[in-house]
Amino acid sequence: MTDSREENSLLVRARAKALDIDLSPDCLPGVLNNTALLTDFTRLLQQHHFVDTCEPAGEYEP
Amino acid sequence: MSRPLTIAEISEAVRSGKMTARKITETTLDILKQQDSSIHSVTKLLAKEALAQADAIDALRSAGKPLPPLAGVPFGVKDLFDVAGHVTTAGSIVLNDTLPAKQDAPVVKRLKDGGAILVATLNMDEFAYGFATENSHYGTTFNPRDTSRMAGGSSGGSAATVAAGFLPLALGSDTNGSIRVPASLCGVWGLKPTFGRLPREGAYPFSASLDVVGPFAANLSDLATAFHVMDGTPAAPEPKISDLRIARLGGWFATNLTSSCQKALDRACDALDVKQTVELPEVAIARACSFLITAAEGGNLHLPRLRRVAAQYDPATRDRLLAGALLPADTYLQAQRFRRWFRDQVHALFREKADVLIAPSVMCEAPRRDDPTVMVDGKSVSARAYLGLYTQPLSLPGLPVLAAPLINPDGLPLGLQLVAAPGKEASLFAVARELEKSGVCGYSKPELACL
Repeated sequence: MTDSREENSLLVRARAKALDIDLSPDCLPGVLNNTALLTDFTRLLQQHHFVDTCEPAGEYEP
Repeated sequence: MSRPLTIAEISEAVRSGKMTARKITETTLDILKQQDSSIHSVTKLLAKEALAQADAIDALRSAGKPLPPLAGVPFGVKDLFDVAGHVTTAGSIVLNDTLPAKQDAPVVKRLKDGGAILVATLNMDEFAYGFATENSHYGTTFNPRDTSRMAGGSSGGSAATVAAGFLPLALGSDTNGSIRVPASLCGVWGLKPTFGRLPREGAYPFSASLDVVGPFAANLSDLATAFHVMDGTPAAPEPKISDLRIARLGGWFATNLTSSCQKALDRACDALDVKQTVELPEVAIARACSFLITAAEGGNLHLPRLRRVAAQYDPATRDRLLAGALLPADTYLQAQRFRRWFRDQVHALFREKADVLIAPSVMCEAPRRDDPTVMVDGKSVSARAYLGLYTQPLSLPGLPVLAAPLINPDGLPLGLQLVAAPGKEASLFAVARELEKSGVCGYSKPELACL
């Protein structure tokens, strides 16, 4: 992950292209801001150590 | 215009013949027509269908037949529940070209079968993605306790209309706190039932891993009555309060509270004689995962439409959904792994230490609409992003949570969350009843300028 706004913009546009999303100039700043927030949350999550047997919740029962 | 206010009073008035269901329905529709402009809780009145249903209730009574438990009780639904014959908007214009719903959502049908009369659809954040009920298509819902304040969201129309005394019952949905936050800011009772307990078919989805539907009411008894009708089960016996291990959640849930909120929570814990404080592990990550799962699932859900008609979305919703759609699969899967881990930790806590947990649902009174911020870690931050600080972590394990309106002698309502193990809603009702009885929770109808 990168901290540079320009590099983030490139990364976001590349991901969007891979998903066939046309990111208009109108929405790019908002998408970048929201991506930055999600990136912060992702960094937090990456601090957690999982044992290999911990499966995704998938068919989840509370 | 006068009309009984509570579910119990209305159903009794109809049962006894003191008022007809038609009269109650007409009065309710008049109230909404004439007074809702002060808070903007309603998106659509359903007068024709409501009056037809009211007449059917009155015909039952005239024929001497038994009346269902909610006979004549008017209710409204967040504008994401299917209502037969109407397009489900989910607070957007994006779905306007879809076909009208063929049938009512099952929880709506259960309430109607129980005699309740659907009179209106209610405002929400577009596609339930927000904590503000500021909707660029249908307007902003105001808090009836102080119309310069936020109602909270995303089920803000539901909470506000109940708080204003317009309707005794409303339905909402909760993914990250969308029942609990507006219930607390508006000073009404709300229930986020156990994940999967109430059918959510016919409720427009947001995040499949977290969405639940639930009721709002002005008092606890009405909340419990509505829940059991929606659940299709008789009321379960409530445990004795003395048999329950009640603990306060510390750590994350004891930080960032205003002094008023801290004092109100202390009063609630004193009323219950709570001595024990417990902590959940890794709450910050739990909140992060709720956020990430919601973003990814919401983004994925809307991706085909975002490719075609992105311009029709509210720009703020569009940009959140697009960012979610772009999240890497690895992040989403890690969040789902954490969800499993966190659920196991929470279940262990319920086995070993407590039956009911107490936590704040918001950190402060309703923020001003012209300054929608809250204080977190000493900084002024966006209310939209942070009002879910205490609700989002508790969404992840799928627990039942009852939002109780916490009386604030110094100002506007505050809120607490009562949290139990899955399926233990009866324990929540038992504790909430004690809080209502002791006078630390529960508000009466506010005096709106227009009333």
